[in-house]
Amino acid sequence: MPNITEPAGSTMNQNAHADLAQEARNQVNAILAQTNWQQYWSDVSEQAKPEIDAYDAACSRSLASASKKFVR
Amino acid sequence: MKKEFKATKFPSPQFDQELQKCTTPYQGNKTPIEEIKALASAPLGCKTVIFEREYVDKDYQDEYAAFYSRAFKKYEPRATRLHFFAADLTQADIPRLESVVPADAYLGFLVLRPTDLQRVGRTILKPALKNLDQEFVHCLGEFSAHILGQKFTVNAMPFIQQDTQVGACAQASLWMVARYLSRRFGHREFLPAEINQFAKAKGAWGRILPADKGLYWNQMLDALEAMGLSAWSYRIDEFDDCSKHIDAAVNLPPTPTVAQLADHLQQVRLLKLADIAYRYIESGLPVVFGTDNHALVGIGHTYDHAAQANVAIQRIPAFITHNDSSGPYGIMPVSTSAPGLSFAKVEDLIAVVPGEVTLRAEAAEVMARRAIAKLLDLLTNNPKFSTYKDLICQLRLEFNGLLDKLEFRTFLTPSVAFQKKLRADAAAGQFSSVLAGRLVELDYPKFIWVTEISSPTLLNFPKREDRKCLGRVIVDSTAPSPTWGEMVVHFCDFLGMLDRQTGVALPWEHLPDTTPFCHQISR
Repeated sequence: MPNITEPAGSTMNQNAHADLAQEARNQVNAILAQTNWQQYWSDVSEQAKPEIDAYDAACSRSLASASKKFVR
Repeated sequence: MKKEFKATKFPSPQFDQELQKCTTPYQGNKTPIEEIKALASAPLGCKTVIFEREYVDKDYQDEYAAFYSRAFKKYEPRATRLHFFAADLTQADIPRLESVVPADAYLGFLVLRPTDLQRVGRTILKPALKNLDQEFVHCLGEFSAHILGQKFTVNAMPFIQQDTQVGACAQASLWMVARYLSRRFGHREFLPAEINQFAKAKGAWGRILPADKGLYWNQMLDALEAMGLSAWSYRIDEFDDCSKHIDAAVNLPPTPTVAQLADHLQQVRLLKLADIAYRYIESGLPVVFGTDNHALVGIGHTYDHAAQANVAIQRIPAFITHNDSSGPYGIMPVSTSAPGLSFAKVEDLIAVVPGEVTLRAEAAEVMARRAIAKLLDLLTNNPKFSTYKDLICQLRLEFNGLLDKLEFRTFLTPSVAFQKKLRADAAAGQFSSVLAGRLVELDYPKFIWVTEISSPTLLNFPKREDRKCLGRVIVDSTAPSPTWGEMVVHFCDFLGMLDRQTGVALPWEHLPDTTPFCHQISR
């Protein structure tokens, strides 16, 4: 098992791809190829939106509530 | 008339006498001037101070023109500048300093204004960092000074004490932010009276000077806008329905008492506000902290690699601040129980970003978190490993367990700096040269948000260069938030890219052994 505390580059070699069994590589590539990535990005955006909207609303409220704050 | 310099040993009675000459009378808060005694200690080890008389300081000249020249009392128009050196120097050395001062021995300078109150003017001092693995001042710019035509440079965050007549703590904080950003991003410099004018230009606020009454928070935002800087304001009690990762990270007893609920709420709110500030400070962008009546500037942080952390902000024991009332590079604990001025007293923040940046840090991190969570949950339609998380754990057995507790760290970086770092890491064998080449050739906006994804196991190392991450997400800093601003996801050897111009998802790839890699060390 590789030492995960080592940087990837230090254990990497030009034959890294070759080290992965061909069958496993084929399986991974098949999985990647049949994944709907357009849908993935769409889902990511859809799931992020409510959280980002909540921040937007909080920032708007922040601005309003800080209007009477005085510092010196 | 010859330019007058005087070299004194530091510390020494001779230094004290010279200082007394140019600081009397010194009414008001003396803490910042008294703090310079600490320069003698390690790691800076100041040994000589050169007093530069009759110094024409552009910031004091501006204050003088706006206020002091109009007073009945006759104020001197010129200031005294103190230069600090970590070297034993004599009066005879002054004409040949360039040849006798070792590299890095110039520690910076401090201007003393010839006024009655709070005399510390423009101050450019190197930070005294004792442990480079645990202390990070991210807001540092290169500044220079000349002594008889000999140039000395120092990396510092500008500091100034409020003079009370042309500026209070609010104006001093704005000056510090603006002067640093002018150096970092090539903006023009703004002077104290000008900043005060900007703050009061949009409303009928009464007299512009004297400015000892301070500023309303919105006036600070007005001043930043007038200086061409983009600012966002955050108030501590407005984010209860945001930052759910913080809610999940702070434990509450199963049947809490009223007091425990109150403590929990206070702790959660503190961490949420600190979490927001941390991303900007990590980006090298100063953040104005507002207590109930005072403003100061967050410029860096300390770091505890061994902290029992569920989220990145729990590894930050304290922020490093420039506080005009106490001096430069102070420590502000991120704790509800710390005595004195802790981050628990901070109610509001102002984050200042380059004008080109329109996407807030927290929005970029939400996008990154969602991209990673979705990837891990994504179904493979393969019975051997039903999700991508299972697939990753099969391909990289050593990642088992790491994916259950991820930490996210987000910062803004110029894309050219990011590309330069990729090239350097690839050249040093610290990052896949193939992947670096792929990432370098992408078309980026001027600034990008980078979120590094890591795990406590990969971060718990005393040396910062040993801390690693499992991947990163790059987000377009100019993207309207719901428009697929994610450009790159590189996580656990999987690489996905999204074409920002067309919104077309490019085919994902598996690039074995390209993670983990070193997390980015401070700018």
